[in-house]
Amino acid sequence: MKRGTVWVTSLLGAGLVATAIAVSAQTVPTARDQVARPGGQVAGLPPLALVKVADGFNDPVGVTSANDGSGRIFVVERVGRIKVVTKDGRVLPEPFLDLTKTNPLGSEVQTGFVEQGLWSVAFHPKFKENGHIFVHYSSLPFNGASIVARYTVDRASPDRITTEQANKTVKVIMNIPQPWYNHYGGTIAFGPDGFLYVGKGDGGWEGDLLDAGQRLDLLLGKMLRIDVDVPDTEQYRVPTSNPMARAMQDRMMSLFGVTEQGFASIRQGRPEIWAYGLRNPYMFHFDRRSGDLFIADVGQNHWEEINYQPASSKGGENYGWRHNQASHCHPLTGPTENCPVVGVLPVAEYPHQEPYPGAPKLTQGFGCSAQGLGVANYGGMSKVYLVGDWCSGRLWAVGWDGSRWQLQESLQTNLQFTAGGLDEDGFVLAVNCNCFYLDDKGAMQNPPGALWRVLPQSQVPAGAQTAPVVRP
Amino acid sequence: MGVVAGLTLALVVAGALAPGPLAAAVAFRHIAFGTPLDVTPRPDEVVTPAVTRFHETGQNPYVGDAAALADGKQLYETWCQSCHMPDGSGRIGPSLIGPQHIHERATTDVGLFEAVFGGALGAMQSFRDRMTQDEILRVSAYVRSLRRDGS
Repeated sequence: MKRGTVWVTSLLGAGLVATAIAVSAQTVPTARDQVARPGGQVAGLPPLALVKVADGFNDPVGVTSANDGSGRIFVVERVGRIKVVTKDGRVLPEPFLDLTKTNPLGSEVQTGFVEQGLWSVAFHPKFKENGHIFVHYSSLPFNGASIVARYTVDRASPDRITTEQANKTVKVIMNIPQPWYNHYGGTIAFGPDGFLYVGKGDGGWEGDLLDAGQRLDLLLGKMLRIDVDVPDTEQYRVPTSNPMARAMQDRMMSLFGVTEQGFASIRQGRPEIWAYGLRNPYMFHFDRRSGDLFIADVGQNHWEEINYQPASSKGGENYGWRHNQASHCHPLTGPTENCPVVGVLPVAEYPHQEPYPGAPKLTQGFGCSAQGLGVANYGGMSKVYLVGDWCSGRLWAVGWDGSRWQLQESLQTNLQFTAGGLDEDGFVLAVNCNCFYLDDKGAMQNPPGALWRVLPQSQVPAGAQTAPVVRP
Repeated sequence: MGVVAGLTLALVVAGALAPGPLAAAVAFRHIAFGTPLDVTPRPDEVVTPAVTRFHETGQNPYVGDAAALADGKQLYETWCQSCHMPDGSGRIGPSLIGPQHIHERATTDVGLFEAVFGGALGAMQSFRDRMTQDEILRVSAYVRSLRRDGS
């Protein structure tokens, strides 16, 4: 039983953590003034550096490792390829998977807009035994719908899923139509429970015109959770412990004899939903030690937000979009806000240069698009979520100080952060593109991006190339 | 564009402007990191008198030049306005018209050129491969014209 095994590990980890911080377990803010904002101090945060691991990637927008002991790092290129970086930092010339070649009529992947492409690869928790990998991308043949698909690695060819092997093994798990070309979400990842989590954006344009965040009949604007360990005759199953897994069982409509509370609790939601009220959760990460989940939800014009779920969460959290953006109101019209907090508050938030329409422009401590990189447990950091900003090149750290959440700017660089993940040793990796909206010339035409490892400055190897930084 | 373009063409035809190192009276550096900035023109780039003068004096000759401002406006609309907004007040990218500036040096002709040519931080990447230095001077002159105090 895969799930049993994973739980044992997870519980052991949780037990250790609980012992260490028994008096200061993290809590989710219940009032706006508990949400961390720039200017805080994250306990144990050392001066950090970005050490270059490899470069020459075409619009890298995702990175992860297989955790199979090989030490390989897998870099996702937006165009539809996954590149292998070996333990010693070599980029293999042949891609691990190439979705531009699997369809004889053209690419499998739609990359027309910069938010479209192949975003993410997730390795099955038992990848070493079953060879299954999962990808999430916008589909060209399906007019931009997002597809979650499984491919299986041939043991005889561990670094390359050939076109033949890809087409022989592909299994489509989900196909979610997309109304507009932005706000797809992107990351898929296995949780400590062995289920696959899928980050879905609100479907695009601005203002969440479909009210997708709040509508429970749509898969958009959500964190989904599905069970992919099913026979190949089925796409996936809904875990019975999903918060809305049983909502549809209220089949017999009944008008009388139901209390007001009973009526209010009827929720005809899509059972795949794990959490809702999200705008564009491009990156999310589980803490390998505790199983806790951090979600970087990209904001609209004024605020970026970081959400947190303890491993004990039963799901069903509403993160407030489109009623709230971060802890603020949506629409945000001025400095005086007056709207209720809908659902669960973020643990941290940072503003754009203009924190509200007409606000004095900030000259420091702002950004425009939060890309979570990974949860760091090294160099003095304990459960510190590192977040890169796509526009400002800032690297933020989010951590719990024993009584509240803190948000601290670690450094600022000239990188357009797109994504992050962990290597097998638990170090946080980051990738950057040169594909900003205006500069986007196409997934293969943009100047190449690079792969970086986030290390304490004191641990930068001699002779290593580091990104130039400005410290606040 | 007409006058300067014509002049440029004439000089190119005359073969007077082989690209190469220019007189380096101004020491250019990266606006954020302070590291030296190599402002050698690209091999295929036509070096205009305005660029030569700018490298010598640090003053943008196109400031207040109506024809250059018209070119600069077009360049601004192509490269700058979707982050910095049509009026320069900023949205995704910072305000270019103050009152406060992230890099104080960007209030000078040299600093503004450095930010566009060499890039700054995050999404503000170098424009050295997308605009010629002459174009950067034109767009910079236009940015200056957006500042309410004319700085």
